[in-house]
Amino acid sequence: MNAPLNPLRPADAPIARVRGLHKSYLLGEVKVPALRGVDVDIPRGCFTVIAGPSGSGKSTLLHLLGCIDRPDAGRIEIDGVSPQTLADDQLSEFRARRIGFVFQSFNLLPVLSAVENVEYAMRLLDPAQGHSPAQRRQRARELLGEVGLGGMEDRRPNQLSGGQRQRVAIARALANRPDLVLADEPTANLDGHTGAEIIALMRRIQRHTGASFIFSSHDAGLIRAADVCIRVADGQIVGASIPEVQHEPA
Amino acid sequence: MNLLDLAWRNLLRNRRRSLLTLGALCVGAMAVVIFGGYVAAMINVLQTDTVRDSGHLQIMRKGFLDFGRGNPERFAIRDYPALINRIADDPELKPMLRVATPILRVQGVAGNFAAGASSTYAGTGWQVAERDRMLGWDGNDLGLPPRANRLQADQPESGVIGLGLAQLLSMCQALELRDCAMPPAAATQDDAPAIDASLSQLAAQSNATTTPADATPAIELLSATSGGAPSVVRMQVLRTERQGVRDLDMVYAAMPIALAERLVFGPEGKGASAIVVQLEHTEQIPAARARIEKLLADFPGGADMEVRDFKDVQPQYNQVVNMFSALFQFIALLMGAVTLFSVANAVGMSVGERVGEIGTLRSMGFKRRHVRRMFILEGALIGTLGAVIGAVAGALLGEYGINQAGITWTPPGRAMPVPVGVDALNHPELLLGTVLILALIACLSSLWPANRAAKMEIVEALRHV
Repeated sequence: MNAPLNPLRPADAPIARVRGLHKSYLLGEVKVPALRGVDVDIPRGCFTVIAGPSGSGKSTLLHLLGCIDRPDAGRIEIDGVSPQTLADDQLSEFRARRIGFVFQSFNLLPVLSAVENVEYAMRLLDPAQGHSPAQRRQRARELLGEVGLGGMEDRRPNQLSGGQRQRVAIARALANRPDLVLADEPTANLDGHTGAEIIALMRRIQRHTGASFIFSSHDAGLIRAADVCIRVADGQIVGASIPEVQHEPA
Repeated sequence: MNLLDLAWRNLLRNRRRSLLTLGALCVGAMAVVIFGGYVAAMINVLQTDTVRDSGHLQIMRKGFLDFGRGNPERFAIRDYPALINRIADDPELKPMLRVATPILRVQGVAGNFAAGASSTYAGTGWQVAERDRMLGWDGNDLGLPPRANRLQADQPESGVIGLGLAQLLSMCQALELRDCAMPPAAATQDDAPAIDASLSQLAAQSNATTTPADATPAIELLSATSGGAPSVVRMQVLRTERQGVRDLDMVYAAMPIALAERLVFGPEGKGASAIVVQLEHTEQIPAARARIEKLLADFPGGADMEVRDFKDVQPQYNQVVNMFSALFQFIALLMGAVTLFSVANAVGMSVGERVGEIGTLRSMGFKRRHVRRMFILEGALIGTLGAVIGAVAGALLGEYGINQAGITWTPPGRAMPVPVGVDALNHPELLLGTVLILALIACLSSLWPANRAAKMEIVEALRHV
């Protein structure tokens, strides 16, 4: 097992700690290894990119960090919690409360308006920990305002552009004030200009909220904007660094 | 925004498919309600017909239904006027009571000796005025016209026979019957005596004891008196009455009870096979029965009597009801299967189209049971909606379409046609049961696709986006 990589502020407790992670998929009858013994600490409160070519295992790592998949071997801790020890329902609650997701294809619910999409994420919390319906609606509107969609709250996803949909998805990911926001190639389905806007928006929100953002991407713009870049190839960590060009402070 | 709202919006998402499913469910619910209403109406008509004929309850000697025909003396209620008075005067029974009247069953040989023809008969003696009242019963408020009583109070020597019996007795011409078949010529044996000489001799005695024959055609009814001696009376045939069952039609005879008493008990004898009790409403049977049994306990000889309801007296009533119930269950089963496959197909397709969405919801924190519930709710919603619309439409179509169309049919075992009716609006249990059962089937049929959705692995589901 390699020494864990923790390139930034090594004294702080990482948001995610990964040790000896293995994951394989069956492709037909062939077992394809996606991760082969990954050890990494992901720093808290940072804008972290997991970069690598297609098929390198970056999405698999992101899925495991997001507790939507289980490793074949190895250990993960998210903010001190080991998801492997949680039952399925507990894991769902953990995701609802602690993790926000942004997907490449936005994955908004088509039957809900923008504000309802954001609000719906809040409904999944235990009522004792969540908001009242009025508070939920208010917070959803505020979040949409923050991502620049004020006045478009009642539009359905099919009435929004790709960039606007991704903004709704970002607002939805932030709805429950998660400690960790995971984004799987969030700019891959956007044109360059819109992608840059989305990167800038997420960077600004990350600084504002202090949450830990982890992306999988091979978008150079996103990599440049990151605090930390973890490089993956052939299912292994091949390096971690602070990108040379740092994003302008917000 | 809750799961129900989400389920509803998802149904509206693919309107064409939802409408097709809804249509199938509506047709299913309509079929169940219309046929259920038809069966209910049919049973009401049948019950009305049976109660008009046999009353609600009959008081008789124990064992009469099985052995009474063969031994009228042993099973006769001799002092029936006293018992009828007791029943009619009872303050508890009075509000329920419509008719309490004696009947006398009689059987033997009927002969048209002028034509040299004879055949067996099974007759019933009635009090004509009370029979009139019985045939007018409409306790189910169906608005059916009273059945005609062919017996006439002012003609105590006259009765009615079945058309089949009239044919057997070669009375077609005498009664001027149009639909009456004459016996084939080959069957007639001119050289053989048409009737036994001893029967002719007996018949001749009846002419001496009864009113001389006038222009009205008449037959001789032969039986045995309670003492075992042969007895014969002459009965004028007012008209024939076709019976729905051929075997009954060939033996049927109805007559005033006095004539039947003379035949069974001799000129001065009195007695009844049973006392027929007709109530205002069928629902009063248990209360009336309990009260009559109490009265019988204090009545001389009452310990040897029993009270039987019309279902015991006419077992074919239950047979017909059971037959219609079985048909209804079969139709309901078919419609349940239509619902099952329609909803399972619709929800299954919906699951197939929304795999990515299921992955998204699960990654956001949706539990497996939330996914399962969402799809079951979709099935339940469309099932309930389809069942409600279909049930209401079926009830309205029955009430304002079929019931107004004036269609009639002749049920098995009946001679007269009855209206084809659908009585769904008066049967809330039918409407409610249809909705609840179809909605339940819709829920159950969504269970399998819903479970499939709930068991999906998140990562696998997200790959479908």
